[in-house]
Amino acid sequence: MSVRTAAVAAAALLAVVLTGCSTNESPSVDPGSLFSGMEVAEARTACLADRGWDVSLDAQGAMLANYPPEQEAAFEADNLACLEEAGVDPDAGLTDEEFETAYRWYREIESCLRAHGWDAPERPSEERFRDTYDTAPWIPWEFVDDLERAQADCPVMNIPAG
Amino acid sequence: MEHQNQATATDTRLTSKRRGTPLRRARLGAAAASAAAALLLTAVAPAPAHAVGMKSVTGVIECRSWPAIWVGTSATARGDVKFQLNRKDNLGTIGTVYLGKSSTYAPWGYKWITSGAGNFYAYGLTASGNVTKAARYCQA
Repeated sequence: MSVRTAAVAAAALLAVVLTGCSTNESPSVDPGSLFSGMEVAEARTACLADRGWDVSLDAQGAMLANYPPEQEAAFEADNLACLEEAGVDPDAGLTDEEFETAYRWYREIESCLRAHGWDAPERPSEERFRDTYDTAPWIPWEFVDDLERAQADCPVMNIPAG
Repeated sequence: MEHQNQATATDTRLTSKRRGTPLRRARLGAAAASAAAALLLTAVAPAPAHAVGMKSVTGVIECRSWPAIWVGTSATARGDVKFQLNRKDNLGTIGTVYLGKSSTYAPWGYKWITSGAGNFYAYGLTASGNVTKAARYCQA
C-alpha cells in the first residue's frame, strides 16, 4: 500500500468513526411542533382580512393588526374564530409528546446558556417539569436579563420561523 | 446605548368589554379570563381602560429620538402571543402584532421603529395563555 493510499484509507476510516460518533449523539430538538407556524399565520391573516379587518403578515409570520381601541373585543372574537378555522384548538393543553419536546428543547437551551456563562435555574426531572409546568414552570432563560444577547449566543432559543 | 426595563406578570384578570355572538362571547370570555399580560409603563403614563385589572409592574424608561429609534420588546409567553406598543404618553397605538401561538413558554421578541414609545403590553391569549416576564429596551 502506497503512502497516498494509506492516507486516503486513514481519512476514510476517520470519517466513518466521526460519522459513527455523530450518530450516537442525541439529535438536536426541533421545537417546530410547539408553534403554530407560517401556514396558520397565513390562514389566520386571510380569514381576518375576509372579515374586513386591516391585517398584514410580515416575512417572519407576525401578523400586524390595525383596529380602533373600541373594536378590540370584536377583533379578538374574530381572531379566535380564525385561529380555529386555521386548524388550531385554542383551548388544547400540552400533549405528552409536546411535553417531551419542550423538556428536551429547554434542556438544550439550558446547556447552551451555561456554556456561554449565563446563569440558569436548576433543571428539574422531566416528571417534575410536567407536574409544575402550570404553577411554577422551569424556564431555563428565567435569569437572562438580555434576551437578544442570549439568543445571539444560543440560536437554539430562537422561535422557528414558518 | 441601551435602556431596559422589565415586568413580571402574575395576575390573570381582564375586564375587557365583550361583544359578539353567544358562542364567541363564551370563547372570548374564556380567553380573557385565562389571559395574562405584562405591562410596562413610562413615567406618569396612565394605563388605558382596557388594561384595567391586569397585573402590571412599572418601570421608568424614555425612548425618544429624532427621527426615530428602535424599540425592542420581548416576553416569555405561551398561548396566542400579542404585543402592543403605545405612543409616548399613550396617545394612541404604535402597533399591535400577533406573533404566533405556542403551546409552551417561549422567548418572543419584536422590534418597532418609532420616535417615542409609551406603554408596552404583552399578552398570552387563549385558555392556556400566560406571560411570565416582559421587557422593553431602546436602542440608539
